[in-house]
Amino acid sequence: MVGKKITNGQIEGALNKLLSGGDCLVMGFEKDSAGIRHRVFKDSLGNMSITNHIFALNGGLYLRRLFSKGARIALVLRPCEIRSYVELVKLSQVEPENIIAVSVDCFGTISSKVDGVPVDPDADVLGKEPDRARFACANCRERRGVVGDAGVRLDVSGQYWVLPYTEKGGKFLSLIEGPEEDVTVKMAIPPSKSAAAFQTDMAEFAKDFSNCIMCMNCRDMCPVCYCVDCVFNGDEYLPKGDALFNKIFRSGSTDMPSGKELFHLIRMYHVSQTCVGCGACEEACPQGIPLTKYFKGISERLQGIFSYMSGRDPNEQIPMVTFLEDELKNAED
Amino acid sequence: MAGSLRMKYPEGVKLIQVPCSSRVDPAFVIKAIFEGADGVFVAGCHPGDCHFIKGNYFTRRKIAALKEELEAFGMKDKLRLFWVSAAEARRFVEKVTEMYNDIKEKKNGR
Repeated sequence: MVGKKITNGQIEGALNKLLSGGDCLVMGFEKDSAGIRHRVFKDSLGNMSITNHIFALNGGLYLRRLFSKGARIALVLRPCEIRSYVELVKLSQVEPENIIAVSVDCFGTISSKVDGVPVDPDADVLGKEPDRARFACANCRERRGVVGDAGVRLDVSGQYWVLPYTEKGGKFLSLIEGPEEDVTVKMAIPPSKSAAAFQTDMAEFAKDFSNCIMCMNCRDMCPVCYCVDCVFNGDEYLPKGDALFNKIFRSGSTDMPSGKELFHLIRMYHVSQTCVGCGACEEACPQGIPLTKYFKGISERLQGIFSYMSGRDPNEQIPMVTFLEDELKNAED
Repeated sequence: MAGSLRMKYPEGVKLIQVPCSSRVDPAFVIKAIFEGADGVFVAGCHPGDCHFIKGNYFTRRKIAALKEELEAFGMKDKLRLFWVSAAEARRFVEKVTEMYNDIKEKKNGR
């Protein structure tokens, strides 16, 4: 594979070339004294940072709502955000033609809810202070910038590289000055280890979710939970009226708000094949429920049946929309 | 079909008709379980025999994934999938009675 070595400011230079055309936007992170957050740049990059060690939400969330057809945009985001973009492309929620997605190596992130986070976007969270890293990052499936059209990767000697993965990525690479070289060095971030199959039970689930207030922030902040008309809009799907009354009579009592286990289990299933395990749901939860543990665990387990990994490859189909004639022989009981 | 053959199946079985087994959104199954059903029996035509050409291949994937999710929560025995087409009344009655009795035994055993 070929790539280009980059020095400080070369990525910004390439992105400025894109911006100077006037018809392209750049979505990335902006840093200032107050912190780091997502920002879309039009004329100049300002205080752009290509890395971000604070996680507030997944940038993939914006893609399906903000941009209409024809807007040219370059994304310079974390791997989990680019993976959710890839999933949204598969789900026909985003037009990929005008988007250049560049994933940047991620060194782990700290929750934006934690106080006293230093503003150093290059902080190696998982390497230096793993205790402060979010659960989702400590158990991340893909921290390497190997998804999307191009990747920005760090090798073991501390040198940054830009590697193209697609034709569009090649165009992005041509904006960067310098010779193309064969990449033979080892990269700093190794592939993630696969975790053991997630196992829990309803008692533990009920305990963890006992504080749920059904605000549905987890759904609204999920980058891949995209249905405009969610089944949980309104209370059509939740126990109510006579059904709730009968349920209480049958079981003796019920916890309120009723139907939260229903909401979470159904949502867990619905996003199972597309969940990228970014932990945006947990970040959005006002009650501090460990949602990532469940959503990430279930999604990895369910994707494992079909040897699928969300956001890995845009040409891979989501398992639920395809099938093999000769598979799952023991599906029948 | 079971009705027109005057075959009996347990009274506790509530049938929900769907045009094709792939119409069964796993959300229906989860909703049924949390609204009080002791078990859910999903019946589909045999793979390859679908009137809608490939519906039950999707069912197979969906239900296999749903079983995996329920297993992670320790509720795998609440869901069963059988390839029983609309014409196989005898097999349907046999399977549904078997599942009914299994659940009943487990409930009474506790």
